[in-house]
Amino acid sequence: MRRAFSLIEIMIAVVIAAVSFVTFMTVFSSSYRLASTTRNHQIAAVLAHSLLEEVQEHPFGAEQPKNWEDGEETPARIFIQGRPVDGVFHKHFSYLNGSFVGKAAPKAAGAPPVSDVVTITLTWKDESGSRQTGPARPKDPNSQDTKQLVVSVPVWP
Amino acid sequence: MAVSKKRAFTLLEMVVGSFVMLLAGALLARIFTLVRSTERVTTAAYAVTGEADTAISNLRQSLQETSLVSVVTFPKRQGVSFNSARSAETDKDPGHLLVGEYGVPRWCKHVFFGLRGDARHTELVRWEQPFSAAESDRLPHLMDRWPSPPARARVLMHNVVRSGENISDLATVDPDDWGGFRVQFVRRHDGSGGDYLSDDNPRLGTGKLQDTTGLVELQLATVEALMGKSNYYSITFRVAPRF
Repeated sequence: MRRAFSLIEIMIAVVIAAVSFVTFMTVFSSSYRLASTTRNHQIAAVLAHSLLEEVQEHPFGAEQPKNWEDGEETPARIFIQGRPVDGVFHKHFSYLNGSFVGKAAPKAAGAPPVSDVVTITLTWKDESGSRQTGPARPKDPNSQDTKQLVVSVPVWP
Repeated sequence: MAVSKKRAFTLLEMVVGSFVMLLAGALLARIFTLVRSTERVTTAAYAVTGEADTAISNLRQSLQETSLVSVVTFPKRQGVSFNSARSAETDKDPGHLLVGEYGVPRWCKHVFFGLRGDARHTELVRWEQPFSAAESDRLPHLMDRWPSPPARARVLMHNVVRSGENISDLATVDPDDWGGFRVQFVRRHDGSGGDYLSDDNPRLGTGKLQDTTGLVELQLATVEALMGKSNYYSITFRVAPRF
């Protein structure tokens, strides 16, 4: 004679189904977040390339252009399924001695030209993964940004 | 006569069974919705990180190898042309830069980037045209007319925004006559002030000389409608021609 399921069998089945469902959800929500993370990294790389081109074109010792001052950049506009998912990036320029933008201490007559190192720090907010912003952006302790890309390039007269 | 001992479901069993099936159906529907939206997001991310990245790399390398003075933009054709000193690609040689005896590039061809397509599908293409006999002195030469893209032009990006395209579900996006591909010259007020953009090449003597920079700014935009909603992506970047 057939018997019905016992309570313990039903509970085990329910637990297995719940674990499977949660696993499914986790996999797909991770995939969703990682797609966004990859996209932000790609955009940050394009922005860094773009700023390096500006450094390449800047005459050594000339005044720093206004658009190198700290500020927001939105190099990309993105809508997925009609919803905006733009990333906002913050840029920060720093220099080893400032001679590249005409801010170094005056050198003695006959001294060799001073080279410099330009460091560009890009930060942005990304929900996935751990916080990666370090001391490279100390000016804004209230920043919500969690990821950063730092590029340094030597420059000389 | 044999009588079956199987009994029918009770009302309670039917109600519980229906409830369990509804619950399972709702869970499955949720999973399928999630799978579908993830697939869409991943596809859109690919369009950003894949095809656009290739197009950006190609544009950047080609523009870095040119001379700013040879860059001409064609507003009504949504394109740009400039000179290249890279030799033709063959099976044995991927192409190399031709350099004269004083280390200057020996310009040998025009390179074009522009939009091609119809009202339904527009793509960004690249093609080349060797210098004519009149241009064989290997100096930079400006292209004064926009030629039609040849059939064998290399496609760099699909689904590029058309000139004046109406993207109905994105109210804040309003494509202009340029569509999804635009190249402009970066000018800077008195060298270090705010930037502004111009369609006129500063090396050709238009505008204030002190506002000149050696930079060009490019904008790429793609749009793809899926299930009545748009996936839209535009990116802006700058390049400095080296010569």
